[in-house]
Amino acid sequence: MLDLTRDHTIIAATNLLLLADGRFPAGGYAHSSGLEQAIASGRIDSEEELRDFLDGILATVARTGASFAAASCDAWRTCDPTDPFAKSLRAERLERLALEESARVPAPALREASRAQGRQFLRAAAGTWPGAGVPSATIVPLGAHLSMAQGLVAAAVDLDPRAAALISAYGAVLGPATAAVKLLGLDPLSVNRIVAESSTRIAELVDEAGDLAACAPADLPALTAPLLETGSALHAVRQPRMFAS
Amino acid sequence: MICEAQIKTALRADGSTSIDQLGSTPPLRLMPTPDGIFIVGAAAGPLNGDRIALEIDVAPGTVLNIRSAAASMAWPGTSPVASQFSIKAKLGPGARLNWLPEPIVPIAGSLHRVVAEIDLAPGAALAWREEIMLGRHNERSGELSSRIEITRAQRPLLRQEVVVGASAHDSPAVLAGHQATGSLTLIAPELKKLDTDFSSQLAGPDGEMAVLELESGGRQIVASAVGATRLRKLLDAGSAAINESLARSTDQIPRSEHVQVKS
Repeated sequence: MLDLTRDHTIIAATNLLLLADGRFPAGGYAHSSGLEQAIASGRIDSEEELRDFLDGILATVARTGASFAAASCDAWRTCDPTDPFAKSLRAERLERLALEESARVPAPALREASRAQGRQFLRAAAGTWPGAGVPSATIVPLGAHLSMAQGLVAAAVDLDPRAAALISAYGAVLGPATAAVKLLGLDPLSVNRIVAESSTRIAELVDEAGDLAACAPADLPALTAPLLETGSALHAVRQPRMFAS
Repeated sequence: MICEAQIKTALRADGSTSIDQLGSTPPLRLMPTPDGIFIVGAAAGPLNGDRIALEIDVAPGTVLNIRSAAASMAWPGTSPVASQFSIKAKLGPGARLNWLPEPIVPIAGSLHRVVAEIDLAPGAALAWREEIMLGRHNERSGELSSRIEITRAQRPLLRQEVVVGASAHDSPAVLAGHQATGSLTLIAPELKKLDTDFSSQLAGPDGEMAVLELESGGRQIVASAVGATRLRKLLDAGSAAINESLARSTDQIPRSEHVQVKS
């Protein structure tokens, strides 16, 4: 249970709510995380199939994403920015994390979607907390992926790696769930119930990502979902489409 | 059962490749043939708990083809510990490794883990095929996780883990009931000559395939299909599309330097 008798817990919880809110202007509304293509391929038509889709996301790419969010948060938090040596080590670690995450995403359309959302997430956070020292996406060559952006922002507003993993994992579920309401016209309350029911799985991801936050980037999870990879390429050449990915 | 196997190539004075070292113990047997080294399952294995380690050293400028005669099966056993197949490959400058085995089939009740770590020197080339069939006909797949790690001079090019056998693989996000999945990863200097906007994808009721451009410039053909035959056809279609595009854009390059992915 959150101890809301302490001011710093309330502040942390407020920041977490802001970051996880679907209204946070990070551009997530333009992405369905593969759901639109899965619908176009005739794989999803019901609440039950949406639940299976989200389960698949949580078993694969969301685990990878949550781990990279937690590790990026750890890299930002554990560095004393007044120490130039620590800062250069941090820059090196972030660059390694970016390389390692890219090596886990063979599909160019998915890397592009991740970087577009990462850029916008950092920009939105810099506008929301102007004094927090939120870095820009160019902190790493080619730009920060979404999970790195989530980790860096979490650290900048004094949240820990587990909170970063929670923002990432919750976002991985909420994005396609929100898209499902628009694309399939599912009952929003039923979709909310499916999201709420995924909380146990999300807890497992947060736990794993928190434990791995300080581990060598090469050893982080690399779970893949083959149909999301091929689907992203099919989606990129399909017209018309409602979502960018 | 614990098995250690090694393959090492050497460069002959005439520029051709010789097999310098070849060693294995059951359940793995390595057979040299004119078409490359064939991996033969020489015993009923691997069973849960077995550990197989294969080390491959492809010397600078040499070419090594590795195949297998038939699909390999991962068997259930009395041990609750997963069987493990670990492959470590090192490619010298200008070396080429074509790893093109038949599919792996995790039989119901088996627990199997494959870890492949491939490190390339600059200028080395790799074709790495992996095909997984989700169990034999009409059976539930065993639990298999397969992790591929490809690095070049310490830089990661691909890290990817496919997990089947847990319920999540049925998800419409993962395999959606397809009974076979696989990939063919190609790293080669000549792939730089492909148009950056080259893309190729196929989709139908019996499977789908896409050629994906890795951030490092290599390509991965990813496919999922109703069965092993269709899966192979999709992977072959992806490599044919790459070879055609290369042939169009680089007529001045000798044919033999094209990506060798024919099976």
